[in-house]
Amino acid sequence: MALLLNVSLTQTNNNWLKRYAVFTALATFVLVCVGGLVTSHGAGLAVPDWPNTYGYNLFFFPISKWIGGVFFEHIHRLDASLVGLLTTILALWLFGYKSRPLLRWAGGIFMAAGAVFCMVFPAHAAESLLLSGVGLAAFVAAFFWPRCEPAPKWLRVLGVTAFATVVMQGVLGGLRVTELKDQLGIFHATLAQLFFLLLCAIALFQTDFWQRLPVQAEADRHHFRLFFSVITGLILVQLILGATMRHQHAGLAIPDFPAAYGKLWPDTGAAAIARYNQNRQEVLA
Amino acid sequence: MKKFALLLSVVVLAGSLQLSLAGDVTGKITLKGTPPPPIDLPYDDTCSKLHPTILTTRFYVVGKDNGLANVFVYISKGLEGKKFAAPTEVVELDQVTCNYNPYVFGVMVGQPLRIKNSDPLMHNIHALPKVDGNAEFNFAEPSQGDINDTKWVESIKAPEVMLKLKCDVHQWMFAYAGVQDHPYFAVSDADGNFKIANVPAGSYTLTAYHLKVHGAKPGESKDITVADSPVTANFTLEVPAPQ
Repeated sequence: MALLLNVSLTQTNNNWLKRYAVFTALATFVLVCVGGLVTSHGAGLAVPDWPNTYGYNLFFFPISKWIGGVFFEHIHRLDASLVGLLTTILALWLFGYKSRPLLRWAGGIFMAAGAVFCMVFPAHAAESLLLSGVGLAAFVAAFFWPRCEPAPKWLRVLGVTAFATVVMQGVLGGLRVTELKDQLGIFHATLAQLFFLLLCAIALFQTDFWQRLPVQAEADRHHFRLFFSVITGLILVQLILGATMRHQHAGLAIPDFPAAYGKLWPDTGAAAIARYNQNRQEVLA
Repeated sequence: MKKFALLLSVVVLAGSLQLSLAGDVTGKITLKGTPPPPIDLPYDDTCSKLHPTILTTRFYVVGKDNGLANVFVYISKGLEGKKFAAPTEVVELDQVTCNYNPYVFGVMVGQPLRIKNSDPLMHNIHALPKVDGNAEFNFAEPSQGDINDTKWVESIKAPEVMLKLKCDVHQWMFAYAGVQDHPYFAVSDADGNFKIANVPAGSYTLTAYHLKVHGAKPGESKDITVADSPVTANFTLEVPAPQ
């Protein structure tokens, strides 16, 4: 990545921020795994509505109803909300003391919005409480926010990108449920892993190890940049293929390994494909 | 007055002739071969309380004299160009003891399907059509007594054999609908018997389709001719060889 970025790095000495970035990346890894469990259990549509959960506010859905496929999907949504919060904090932290006024303003706006929402929609008290609660937390946090110097601009841009990506992920996940489109699920799965990589990169760029790496002084005579770019692109293609396979439930379309239906290259004629698809039917269907 | 009486008589006679030139198509579906044993459904704790004995898959329900249940029998050719009004009679699909009842059913395009939750826990109803013109849908019925009479008719506009419905909360729950644009279909009963009533006189292709016997294949067909007496059409379906 240093070869690709080819920028000089300003040392950041905020150890707590470094640790927090690692923690956020680890939490995201857990979220990606939980998302995988949702697909493995075929529970992606076990909660047919969004952003609510069977008509309840996401955060107030009774534990007694976390049954069957709902358990996996609901845990995934809660975990995603947590990672969203962690990422927001990370993005703000990278701005250091400059985040304080933003937090005060955003907190005030959210508290006001919560109060107005409660007056206009009294039946949605839970949502009003949530809005006001978030606003209050942000407002109070502004007074305790770290007074550190902002991170280098490029790192702050990565932080904002991470924030925008996690918001997009939330929306994509919700639209996947409401629009019933497999393509959205595939994009959601691929973007999840790219988001995880982004957080890992933010954590890595703040480590002492990374900051001690020498910047490349010579021209790339051996075309390493091209080589690494191609390899990275191929990995991305594999991620997309994997996400497509998973969301079309084709994971067991070929039951043997390393052969495929006993051959190096399986029969791909129409009759053979029909037979393979017949075998792919759910065991209990 | 005389002319009116004469006209009325002609109309009544024509109607009677029409009725008398229709017949019932009956038959029995028999299974040949030994089907694989049923699989116990992996009920969770909540569903186990509703049904203390273990329920199994309903892939091959074999009754008296090897009669095979849940075969969708329908006229697949011979009705082209004819239009039939959808009946107003409501077909009911119930979710009870964490299972769909019935497992296989027939319904006409435009005929109302009542989807009901008789369980004291939540289900979602997720339809997965494959035919163009039929829209996928997924909605919740979180409480006992929830009923939906409109979603099916709003979403399903074209014939399809078989349209899968599932519950994503309970991974073992499936039902299958045979959707036709005419009323001449039936589902074989526990002993493999079926009856399609009042089929108009004519020559047709009758098709019998079973989920596991036929899978991706179109089902077994035979030609029949309906005149003014009942027609019997029996089918013998064979358990497919393991792949």
